[in-house]
Amino acid sequence: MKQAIFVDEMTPFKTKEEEWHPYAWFEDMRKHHPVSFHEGQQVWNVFTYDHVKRVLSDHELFSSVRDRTLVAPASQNDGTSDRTNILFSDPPEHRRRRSLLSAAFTPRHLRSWEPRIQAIAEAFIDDIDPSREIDIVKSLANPFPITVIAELLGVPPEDRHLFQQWVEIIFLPFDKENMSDLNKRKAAAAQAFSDYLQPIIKEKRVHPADDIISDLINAERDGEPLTEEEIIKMTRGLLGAGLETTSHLITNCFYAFLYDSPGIYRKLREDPELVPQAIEEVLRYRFHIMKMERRVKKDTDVLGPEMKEGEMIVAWMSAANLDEQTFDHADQFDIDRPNNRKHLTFSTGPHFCLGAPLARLEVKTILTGFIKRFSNIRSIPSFDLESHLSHSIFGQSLNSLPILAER
Amino acid sequence: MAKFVVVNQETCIGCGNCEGIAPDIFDFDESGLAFVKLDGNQGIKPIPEDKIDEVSEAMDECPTDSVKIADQPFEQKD
Repeated sequence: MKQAIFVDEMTPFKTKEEEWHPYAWFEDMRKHHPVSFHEGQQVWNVFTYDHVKRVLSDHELFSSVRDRTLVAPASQNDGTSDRTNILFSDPPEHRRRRSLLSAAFTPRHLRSWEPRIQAIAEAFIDDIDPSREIDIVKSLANPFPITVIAELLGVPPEDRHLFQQWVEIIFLPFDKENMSDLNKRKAAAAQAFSDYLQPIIKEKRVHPADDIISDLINAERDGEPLTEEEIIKMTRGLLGAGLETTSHLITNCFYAFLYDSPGIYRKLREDPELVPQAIEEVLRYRFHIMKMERRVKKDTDVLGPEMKEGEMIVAWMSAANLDEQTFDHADQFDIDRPNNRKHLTFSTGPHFCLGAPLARLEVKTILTGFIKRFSNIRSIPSFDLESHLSHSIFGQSLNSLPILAER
Repeated sequence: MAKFVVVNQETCIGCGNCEGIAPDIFDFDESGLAFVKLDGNQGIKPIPEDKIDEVSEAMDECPTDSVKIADQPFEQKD
């Protein structure tokens, strides 16, 4: 079973809102403690762009094979091998595992999905009633990505509430007081998900379709087909990775357009071609997955201090994304910056986000559709940020975002 | 000056960045890895002048440094 890194012990945030605006802390750490060791958690933390990039990409020194993590979903000791896990492996093994999935996620393959993604987006936009307050989370950000990934995987989209609920439990944040209860809940949710998926897999063995579960049924590892347990684990991983990430990105786009850069919506409405670069800037400036961990693979002083083999290190991507050495006026939201795609939000190196092309396509589709439909958006004067934030396993995220829209 | 490009498929992870930036130059093979479609990823045909900027950006954005650009044609492996 993987051990937890309790990140809350290492950060100074007293309120949810403080964590939502972590910029001052990031600046302080980049300037004064760029490489620091937390005694309580026994973990290194790095904050500058160059360091974060090095830690994420240099798998010779900083390994993804690790027993302590920031994010440990239900750890089932089910005796199955882990030969398909892409998160906790290094090249060359990682490459063999990732290749089981990578073909399905290339932009070329996704292009064949574009009309379906477009149709799903349009249907959700059609349902929006601009005469009333709109909760972006409930009306778009939650249901849209889950419907898309359900279609891609080949599970019935109408069951989305079921697996959304399981995935939410599986990825609940660690709670130091409550670890054993939480692990039981997570294991139960993982089991329910597995029971749900088994008959679907059996059916697809007989009647394969153009979807990822059918691809996995046909995939081979070391000349052998994947076991049912492995297919379930991979599907669970894809759901977990593909739901709340894209969902929060959509919500954060609307938040950024209203609060980080008021007025930008009208600019995008005038020229929807700017939407992709606006998305990149939101990814750089405001994303809830702020950090990722690695294990020091061999003794090294490449980042300054002497790090010992086996020590854990947390790379703060969100702090790196605000590094003035890489991004001019980094603390400002600016969709016109020339290098905003250099952000490290999708990580870098061999573990670069497998779903990045899908996320980019989904968010571009839904935002462009919305912007073409509605001439402007406005914030709600009574909006109280603190009460709309939730502590998730990765960081603060908006559980609802009420806005007004005009046709 | 002419420029040449190849994708090192030993390190490529098929993330999609290069093809997203320069769709006329890069494509994906059946296993999901990127290749240069100018010349079947041999690195012997010069990059069209008007695509050099896009290819340079693709090199910058490649998370595994698998996009290689050179001033000479790449040597062919036997």
